[in-house]
Amino acid sequence: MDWGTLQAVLGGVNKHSTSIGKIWLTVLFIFRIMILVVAAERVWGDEQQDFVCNTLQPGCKNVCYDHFFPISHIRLWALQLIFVSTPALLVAMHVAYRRHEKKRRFRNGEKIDIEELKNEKIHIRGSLWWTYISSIFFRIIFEAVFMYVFYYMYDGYQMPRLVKCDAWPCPNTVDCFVSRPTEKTTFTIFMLAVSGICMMLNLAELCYLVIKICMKGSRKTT
Amino acid sequence: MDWGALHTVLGGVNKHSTSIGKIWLTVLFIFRIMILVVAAEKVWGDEQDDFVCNTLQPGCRNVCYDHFFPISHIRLWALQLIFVSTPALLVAMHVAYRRHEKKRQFRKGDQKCEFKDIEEIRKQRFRIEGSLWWTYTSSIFFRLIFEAVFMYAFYFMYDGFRMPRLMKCNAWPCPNTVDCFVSRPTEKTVFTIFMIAVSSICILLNVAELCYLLTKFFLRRSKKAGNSKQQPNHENKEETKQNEMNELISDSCQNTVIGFSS
Repeated sequence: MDWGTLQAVLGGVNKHSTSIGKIWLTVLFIFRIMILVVAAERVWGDEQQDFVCNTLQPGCKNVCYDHFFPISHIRLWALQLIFVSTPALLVAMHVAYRRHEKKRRFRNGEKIDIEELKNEKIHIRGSLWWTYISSIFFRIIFEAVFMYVFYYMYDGYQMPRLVKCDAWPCPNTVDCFVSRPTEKTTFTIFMLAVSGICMMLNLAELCYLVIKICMKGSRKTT
Repeated sequence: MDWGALHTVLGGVNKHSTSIGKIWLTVLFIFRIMILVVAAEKVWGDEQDDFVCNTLQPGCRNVCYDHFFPISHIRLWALQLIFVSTPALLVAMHVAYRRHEKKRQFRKGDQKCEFKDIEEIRKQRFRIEGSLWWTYTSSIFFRLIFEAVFMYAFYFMYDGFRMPRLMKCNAWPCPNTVDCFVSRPTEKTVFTIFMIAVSSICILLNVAELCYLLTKFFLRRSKKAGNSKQQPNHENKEETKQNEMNELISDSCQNTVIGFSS
């Protein structure tokens, strides 16, 4: 189970999304997951190995690294991407449930074509609309939570070159130097920017769905 | 999601490209992405490990490496390739939208729709005309912009395209000035020049494709202007529609369609 499998799972959800949802999914896969796998993981690859402290004291480097990097950026991004992708599965489950109900009615003798049922594109109406809206809402919440966690854990989005550490067993205060801080800052800002774009796409999709239902409602009353 | 998945996504776009577009895509995948994955990543693999400074001062090497290599070549190339590939997705989205509209027409039972079968709609190759022409041209334009921006970023960040053997560093905590030696500078220079050369070839292909599309557009317009002067309008519309239908039949002759009568 890796990013490729997630892509296969979410690809199926794509069929029942709005156009904005499809753009969101493309941005997620190409500008976030792909960048993470192809570039960011290499940048953070040697983060502990090349974390150097100006001391000969054994254990000091380990303790300082652990103190300043409780959870690595890469792992936080992986968690963020998984949590943000998962609400789409609510929609997939709802669609599968609807299909299952139709198949049951077909088996009970109603006249519905099974092939057509499999390929049918289900419109976002009724209870599916509520499921879809909740999934977008949860996506926005997860994005915001992770962006805040990043900000809180690392005091902003910039990776410092030097961190001063006085955790035991380091003698007094020790200078520790981070590996590739500029490259890490660049990628952190990039991932943050794309995260912001994804949030805006989700908000746009939310507005679009709400407006669509209001317009449909007003058409029915007139 | 890796380069293979990008290849799958872009492979779909290939069907609707011009011949020059197909050549561009091949050059992109074989001479850039494949070279990056198969060769360049190994050359840059030990870039920080084997970046050696003439000092025992802890932290000096890290700081000097960070100072001289703010973003590694490999990451810049990866970003460049992703950004340059992405405009093609605009075209894919436009084609998908057109197909969706035609399927909707088909389902509604519209008599204007020429297709007998949803399979035929799926396999149809769209001609680069009308709004699709504009989308396609904008995607080529964006590709050119991204290529140029990244080439300039490389030149600006690394003061040219050559990798020096020795760098003199005096950033804190290095004591005074320290000599630092880059790992595999000649091999890196060779690959940098190679990637720049292929990048330029891709730019030339994009410019050629742009010229080709513009020329085709102007020729078509002048033909239409010429035809409308010679013949009455309604006969011309039927003839051009007949021509288009014939072209569609010949274009999609590889599909197993039980043809439609003219």
